[in-house]
Amino acid sequence: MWIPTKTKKYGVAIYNWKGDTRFGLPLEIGETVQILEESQGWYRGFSTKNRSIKGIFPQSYIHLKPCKVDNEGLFESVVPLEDPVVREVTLVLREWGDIWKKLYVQREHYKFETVGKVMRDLLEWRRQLVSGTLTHDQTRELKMKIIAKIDWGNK
Amino acid sequence: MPAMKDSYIVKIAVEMTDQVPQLIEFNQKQPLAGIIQELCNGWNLSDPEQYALQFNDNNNRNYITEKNRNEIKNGSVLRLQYSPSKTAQDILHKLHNGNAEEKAHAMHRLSNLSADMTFALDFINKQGLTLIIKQIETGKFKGAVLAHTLLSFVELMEHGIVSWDILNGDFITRVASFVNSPQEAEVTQAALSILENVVLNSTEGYGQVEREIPIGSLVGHLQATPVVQQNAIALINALLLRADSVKRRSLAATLTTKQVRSMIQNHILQTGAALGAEMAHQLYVLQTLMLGLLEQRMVTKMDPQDQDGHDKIKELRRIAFDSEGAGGGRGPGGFTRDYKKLGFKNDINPALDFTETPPGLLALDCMIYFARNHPDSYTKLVLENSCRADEHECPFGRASVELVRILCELLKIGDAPSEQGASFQPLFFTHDNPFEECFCICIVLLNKTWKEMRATSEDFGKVASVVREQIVRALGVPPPSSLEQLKVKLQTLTYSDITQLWQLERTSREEWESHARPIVELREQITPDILNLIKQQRLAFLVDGTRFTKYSARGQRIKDKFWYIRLSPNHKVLHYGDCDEKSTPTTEELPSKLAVADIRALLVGKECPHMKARKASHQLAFSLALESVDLQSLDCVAPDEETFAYWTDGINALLGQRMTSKETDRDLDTLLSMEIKLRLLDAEGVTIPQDPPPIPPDPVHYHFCYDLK
Repeated sequence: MWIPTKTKKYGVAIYNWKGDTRFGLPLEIGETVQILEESQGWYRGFSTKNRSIKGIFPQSYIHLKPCKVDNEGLFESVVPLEDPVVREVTLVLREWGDIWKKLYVQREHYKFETVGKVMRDLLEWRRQLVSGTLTHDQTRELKMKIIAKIDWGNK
Repeated sequence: MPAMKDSYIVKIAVEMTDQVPQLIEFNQKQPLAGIIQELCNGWNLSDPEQYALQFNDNNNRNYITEKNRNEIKNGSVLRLQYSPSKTAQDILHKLHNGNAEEKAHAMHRLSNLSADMTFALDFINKQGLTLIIKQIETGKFKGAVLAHTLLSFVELMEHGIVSWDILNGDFITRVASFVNSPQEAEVTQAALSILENVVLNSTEGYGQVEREIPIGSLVGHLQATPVVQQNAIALINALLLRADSVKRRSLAATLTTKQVRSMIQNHILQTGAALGAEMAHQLYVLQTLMLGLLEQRMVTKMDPQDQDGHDKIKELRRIAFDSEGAGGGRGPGGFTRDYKKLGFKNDINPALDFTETPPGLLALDCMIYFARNHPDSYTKLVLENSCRADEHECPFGRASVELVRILCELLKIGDAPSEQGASFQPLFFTHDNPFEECFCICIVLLNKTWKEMRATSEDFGKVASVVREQIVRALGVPPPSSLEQLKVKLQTLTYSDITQLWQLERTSREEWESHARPIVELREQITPDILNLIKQQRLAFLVDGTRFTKYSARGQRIKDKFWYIRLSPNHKVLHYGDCDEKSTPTTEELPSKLAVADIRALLVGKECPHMKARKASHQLAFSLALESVDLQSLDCVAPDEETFAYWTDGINALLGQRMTSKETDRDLDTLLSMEIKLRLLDAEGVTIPQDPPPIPPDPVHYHFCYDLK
C-alpha cells in the first residue's frame, strides 16, 4: 500500500543511489528530497533540484528533516524548518558558488581568491551555527558577522 | 602427499611415569578405548579400562574424553594415567581407610583434580562430595588439609552438577566459623568463596550467613592477602545484593564509616591491589550497589503533602537569604520572590520542580546537603546570581535538578551491576556522602561554566551539555583518586577547552568523511565537470594570447624581439606574428596562421627542437610539432611558470589529451573541495554511513496515491 506521508515530508540523501529499480529516482549524497508517499521501506517523491521527475527511493537512504507543510494534499507546499540565517547562508553560498566558478574561468584571480576565502569563512560559521553548541549570545554575534559578510559579498 | 585424507590423524607422544614414551599416530576416528588398549599393549599393562589419557600442563591436565579430543593437535604430548573412575575410587578409599598422612595426601590430590569435569562427575557419583561435606562438618581437619578440603569442595561445586541447596545449617555454621576465626589464608579464602556462593545460590542459606557473619569480621579480612580481600568484598557484595532495602541500608551505613573506608583506602586502593581485574570488578559491583541506594529517592516524585520536602525547600531559602537580615514577616509574596532568586522553575510552588523523575527528590536532597554542609559556597552562588541585574544569572534550582539528572545518568544509578563491569571511581570510597559531595563540586563548576559561556536562560541545555562533557572527561581515565583531585581536574577543563576538543573531533570526523565511500564516489562523479571548467579557463587564456620573447634556432634569447600567439575564439586556429615590447595585437593584426588540426604533438623542455643545441634545456620551453611541410614546429619559451602551465594545458586540451600541470591538480582540488562542501550543505551534522544502507525488497505494487499525469 502506498500511503501519503503526514510529517515525513522532507529529507536529505545520506548516500549515493543509482536508482536501479522500477520507477527508481537516483540520488546523490547531500541532495534534498520532498516526499509524497511511502510503502514498506520506500518513499516516493522528487529531488528539490528537479521537481518534475518523481520516483521511489529507499527510506534507509534518507535522513528526515523537520519541515512545515501547508495546503496538505495534492498541491501541498513543504518548507524546511531551518534557522532563517542558516537557510540564507545556504542559498547565498550556492549562488556565490556559481559566481565563483565564473570568476575562475574569467581568471579574475584576486576576486576569485577573496570570494573563495569569504565562502570558506561562511561555511565554517554556518557549521558552528548548525552544530548547536553556541550560546544565545554567541549565536547572535555570529549571525551579525555572517550578515555583514553577505552584505559585503553582494556588493 | 594426500594431506586431506590423513587430516584426522595427528602425530603425538604419550608419556607415562616410569615408562619409555611412545610416539603414535592418533586416529581421531578410532574410539579412545581402542587407542588406550593399544598403548597399554605397548607398555604391557593389563586392565586397559583402568586407564585414561590426560592433556599436559598447558591444558590444565584435563582428562581426554570423546568430547574434547579434537583439541589434540600434531605434536601434543599426552599422559597415560589411571582413569578418573579408578582415581576417584583410590582417593575415596584412602580418605575412608588411610592413616592421617595418607588422608592428607589424598586430599591434596583431590584439590588438584576437582577442577576437571570428568573427574568431578565420577567422584560425585561415588558419593565423594557427601564425604567431603561430612569431613568439613565434623571438622577434624586443620591447616593445609582443611584448605585442600575446602578448595576441593569449591571446585567440585563450580561444575554446577550439584545444587547449593543440599547444604545444611551445620555445614554453613562450620564454614562461617572459619571466616570468623583466624585461619590460614587459603582456608579463609575458600571459606569466603563458599559463603559467597551460598548467599547467591542457595534459597535458605542467605539468612543464616547474614546472621552468622558479622560485617565486622569481613571488614577484618580487608587487610589480608589480595585473594582474601577480593573474596571478602565478593561476599559483602553478595550480602548487599540479597539484602532487603532496610538491611541493605544498615549494611551500607557500616560500610561507609570512616573505619571501613580507610581500610579499603589503605589496604586495597593504595596498595595497587585494585589493579587486578577481579578486584576491580568486585569494587565496581560494590560501588554500583552502594550508589544504587540512591535510586529510591531518584525515582520518587515529591508529594504535595511531603512535609519534609517543604521544610527542606524553606530551609534552602532561609540559609540563602536570612543572613541578610531581611527574613521573616515578608509574607507569601516575599517567598515567591526568594524562590525566583533561588532559580526554581515554579517559583510559586517549588515542590513542582521535583516532580520529574529522575532525579526526583534526590535533587532536593543534594541541594539541601550543599546548603547545610557548604553554606558559604551555597550562599555565595545563590546571592551572586540573584543580584545580577542582567539576564545572565544562573538559576540554581533548575541547574541543580539538571545536574543531578546528569550525574545519575553518568553513574548509571539504579542499574544492576553487570557481569563484565570493572570501572569504578576510587573517590566513591573516600567520603560518607560521595555522591552529594560530587554534586557540590559540580554545581560550583556549572556556575563557573555558565559565566564563561556568558549564558542566558535560553542556553540552559547548551551549558548542561558542556558540563556533562566536563564531568565525563574529569572522571575519565585515569579516574581521580579523591574529591579534591576531581575538583582540580574540573578546574582545568574550561569551557574553551571543551569547545576546542569538540572542534578537534569535528575536524577529525570531517577528515574521515572526506575518505568515506559515498563522498569519494561523489568526487569522482563531479570531477569531469570541474576538469571541463579548468579547460574552459585555459582555452580562454589562449584566446587572450601571450607575448613571447624570441629565441634563435639554437636556443639563444634574442634581445628586444617579441612575438605574439593567440587562439581564435572558435578554438580552431592559432594566429601569430611579431610585435613590440608593449603591444597586444588583435587576431587581424597577426599575419601568420596555423590550424589546430595541424598540430601533431606537444613537446616540452629538452624535446623541443630549439633546445636541442643547448646544454641546459630551458624549463619553460615548449614546441608544437606540426604536420605541415613548410614549417616543422612552432617553438616558444614561456615568460613564467604559470604561462607555461596554461599553454601546455591549453594545447593538451585542444589535442584532447589530459592536462598534466600541477596547476591543474591544484585548481581541481580547490574547485572540487568547495563543490563537495556546497553539495553537502544540507547534510551538515548528519552522520554519513561508511557502507551503503540496506535496500528493501521491491514494493509489492506501484499504484501510487499521487499520480499526476
